[in-house]
Formats: sequence, C-alpha cells, structure tokens
Amino acid sequence: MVDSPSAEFDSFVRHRSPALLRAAYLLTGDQHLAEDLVQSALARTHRSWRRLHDSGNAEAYTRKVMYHLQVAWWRRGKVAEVLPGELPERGRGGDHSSASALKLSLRAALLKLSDKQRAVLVLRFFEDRTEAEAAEVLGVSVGTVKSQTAKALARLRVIAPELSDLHAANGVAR
Amino acid sequence: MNAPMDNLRSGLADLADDVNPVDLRDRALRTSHRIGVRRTVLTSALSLVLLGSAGVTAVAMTGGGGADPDTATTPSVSASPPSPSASARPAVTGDYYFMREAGTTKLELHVLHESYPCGTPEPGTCEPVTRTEKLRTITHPADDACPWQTVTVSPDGRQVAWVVSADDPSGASGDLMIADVRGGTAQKRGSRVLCLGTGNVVWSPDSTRLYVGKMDNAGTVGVVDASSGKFSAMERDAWKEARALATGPFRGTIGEGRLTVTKADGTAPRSVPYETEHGLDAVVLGVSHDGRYAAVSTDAGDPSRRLHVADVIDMTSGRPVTFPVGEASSVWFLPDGSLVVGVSGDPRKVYRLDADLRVVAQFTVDKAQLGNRMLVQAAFG
Repeated sequence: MVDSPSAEFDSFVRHRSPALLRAAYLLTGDQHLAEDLVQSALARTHRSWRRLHDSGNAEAYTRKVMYHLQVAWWRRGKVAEVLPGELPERGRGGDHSSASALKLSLRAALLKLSDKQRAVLVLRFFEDRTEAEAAEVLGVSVGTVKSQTAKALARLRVIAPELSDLHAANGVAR
Repeated sequence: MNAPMDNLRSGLADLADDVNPVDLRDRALRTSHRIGVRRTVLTSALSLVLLGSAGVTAVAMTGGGGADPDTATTPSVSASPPSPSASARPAVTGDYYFMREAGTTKLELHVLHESYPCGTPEPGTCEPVTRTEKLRTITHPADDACPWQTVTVSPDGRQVAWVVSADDPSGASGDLMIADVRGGTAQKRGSRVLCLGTGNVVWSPDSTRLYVGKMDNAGTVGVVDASSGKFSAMERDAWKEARALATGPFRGTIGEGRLTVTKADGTAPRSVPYETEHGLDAVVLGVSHDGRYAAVSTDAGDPSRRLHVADVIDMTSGRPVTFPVGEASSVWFLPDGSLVVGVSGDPRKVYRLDADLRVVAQFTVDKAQLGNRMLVQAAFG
C-alpha cells in the first residue's frame, strides 16, 4: 500500500523532528525558539513536500531552511537573544567539573558567539559536516567556514576558558 | 582528522540532550496553511506595506514637521464616533495594489485607483470614484514563495520589483527582478537578495533604486540601481536610515518587550512596553509622520511578509488607538496626519480618516472585480 503524501509528511515529521530540534536548540539556546525554528522549516517543507519527497531531499532541505531562517531572523533582529541564566561559578571544587556546569557554560558561550559562528560550530562539530558541506548548507564559501570556525573557537577560549578541555585544539579540515 | 575536537563534539551532543522532543506536526501544518492563506485568500483586512512615495510618505507632517516623539505634545486619542468632517484635507488620490496567486507559477497584479472629482473628499458631497485595472502577470517557479513576499510597485507606479528564489533551495533569497508594471520582459537586477520577512525590497522615493539585503556571510546591505542593476554596499546604519526615509521620517522596532520609535537616523528614541500576543516576532509596519503612532504587525513565528496590523500604538501613552470604524487591520499614515484604514469586520471597506480620526470618506472594494485578491501595497498622492 502506498502512503498518501500527507501520511508520508506526518511520518517524516515524527521521525525527524527530534534530530532537527537538537540542532535547533544548539542554534537558538532556547526550547521555544528551537520549536519555532523547526516548525517554520517544516512548514516550508510541507509547502514543497511533493517535490521534495520525490527527489528524496526533504531532510536536507529542511535543515538548510532551518539554518537560513536562523540567520535571517538574527539578521533582521526579530528574535531576541535569550541569554542564559547565571554562569556556573568557577573554582568551586566538584561543581565546576560537573557535566551540568560544563553544559551551562557551553550554552552560555554559544549564545555569545555570532549567529554565523554558532552555525558553523554546530554544523562542523555537532552535525559532523565537512567544511565543504557546511559551506553548502550556509550558502557561503569554504574559506568563510574556515575563518568563522577559527574565530568561533578563538572566541570560545576567551569567553569560556573553563571549556578549554572541550576545545583543546583547532579543528582540522576534512 | 578531527580527534582533538571530540570533546567539543561530546559537549554539544550533551547540551542538545537538554531539548525536549515535542510533536510539531500540527504546528507545522498550521504555519504551512497560514503561509498558503496569505497567498491566496481575499484580503480579510486591507493590508499595509508603506510605499515610499515622493511627496507623500517621505514628507513631514503638515503643520509641524517631523516632531520629536520624545517632546511631542499631542492631544489624547479618544476617538470620536464616525462623523464627517468638512475641515479634513487628506490626500486626494490613492492607488491600491492587489495580488492573486494564479496556479502555482503565476501572480496577477491589479490596481484600484481612488480619486475625488472635486479634488478633496467632501463628506456627503464628494464621494470617491474608483476604477480597477489589471496590471502584469508575474511568472515564477512552482512553489517559490519569494515573489509573493517581495512584489513591490515603485512609487511612480511604473515599475514592479520582486525576488525569485532561483537556485536557493531554502527560499530565503534569490534574483531581484524588475519589470514594467503593465507587462513586458522582466530584467534581472541582482542576485542573492533576501526575500523573507517584511520590507526586504524597498524602493527609493524617486523610483530609481531599491534598498535590499544580501544573503551572504557578511550580512551585506545596500542599494541596487533599478536601471543597471549595479549594487552598492552601504554601512548598515546608513542603509537603515535611507531605507526608513523612503517611507517616512521615523522608524520603529520591537524587541525585548518594548516598542521603540526613533527618527530615521536612529536618534530621539521613544519606547513603550509592548508584547505580542504569543510572544513571537512582530514588526513595525509603519510610523506616522510625526512619530506619534506606530502600526504593529500581527505575530506569527515565521518570517513571512507581514501585512496585517495587530495594533496601532500611541507612543505618547503606550496604549492602542481605538478607531471609530472598528478594529483596524491595516493602516496607512499620510504626511498631512490623515490616515487610510481597513477594518477586520468588513475587509472590503476602506476609510479615510482625518488627523482627529474622524471619517471623511469611504469606499468599498468591488468583490466581483477584486474578490480573492489580497491588498499588498498602497500609494497616495
């Protein structure tokens, strides 16, 4: 039995939303903004579902829209940056070394990066994309991905030195 | 080899675990439907995209110029019931541009001309005369949202510009096209022009240039020469000022729970608390020429072109303005302080109000001629 386009879209949303939300959360730093971002990307996917489904590019399209929407929203200043709560205090024995403290630090640090810097880090080190793939998703040159990655890592070292063990060295191009 | 970054990878993966999975199916479908409705349904309310128009929107308010909103002292906005006013002298003509989606690859552009035989609206004696005209058809690739988002007629009414998403599968940017408003071949005048959101393509008041943003790593903004397509990058603040001046002496923004109106150059800010109904993004669609009123869009949660007005805020009090004709769903501010208002209760009615918010004229959009078309822009002379 062949599923209807509607059922196929429903299945796509059910199966892929969790993964999309994870990336969106890293891009936005906020549950609700992440939901809004994925929702908007999925809506555009739905508008072109037949074409995308036939070509087998639905997920790639949705991810690309998501990254572009994020860049566009930030560029237009329509999405207020949700700053995290207080940073975990440093130098208090076990607290600082705990995974939860590191997570909070990383979240805070990501939100202090520019949208492009955060996007390249998520693409390169969360989605594990090559520089060329990241460039394609963002619609920029490989050189831009290289420079933005280097700047992002350098900035992380400054704004979140407590994360030094997370970014011990610059990424090596693939 | 990326081994040295494995700790960052695991850190990001751990952080991503914090997000709670939710079922987005219904929300995505609603947003998709809303995008579709915006393209196809008759204007349920007359919509607003201020058209930069020499002698109209770029001129300061009569009798006081662009008053500083920080220092303006204006009367309260207790709206009176609808009653004709003989003293009003609003603009005497209006061009209202409507669009309709014809299939999946065409947009039809229409215009409704409004004029007054006696020159100015005279309630009870000089009723507006309207006539409609079909302008050009815009063709575009199937399922391309960019053209609908960006179709904008030049202030002189001769040219129309739009963006077609071309090879950007995200639909966030594309080629800038310009054509004669009444037909003929469209000419490409730019590439990678942003098309999402509101006001991404803004004509200069003299109809020779367009202010656009580019989809690139640097967030480039600038101005395109309409005849040659030459793009000149601008410093962002200068670009913001020039783009704002194309529509009036003031501009507005919403962020962090506040609505802020400034002069076009960003000075003299006046800010009032403002939260959208759902806490989502909204934009300021227009500011009156004295900086007193700001028309705020409905929120949506997606970066589609905003057309409908949710509130008109009086920046002197921070309170929504109450109009005598009902709940405003579209508002155009004219340089002389008068307004043109569409209401949500009767989407085919258009009212002209004087600066004291009294009705001086009205007309009804002909359903047979312009039914199932959405009003996307208006210009006044």
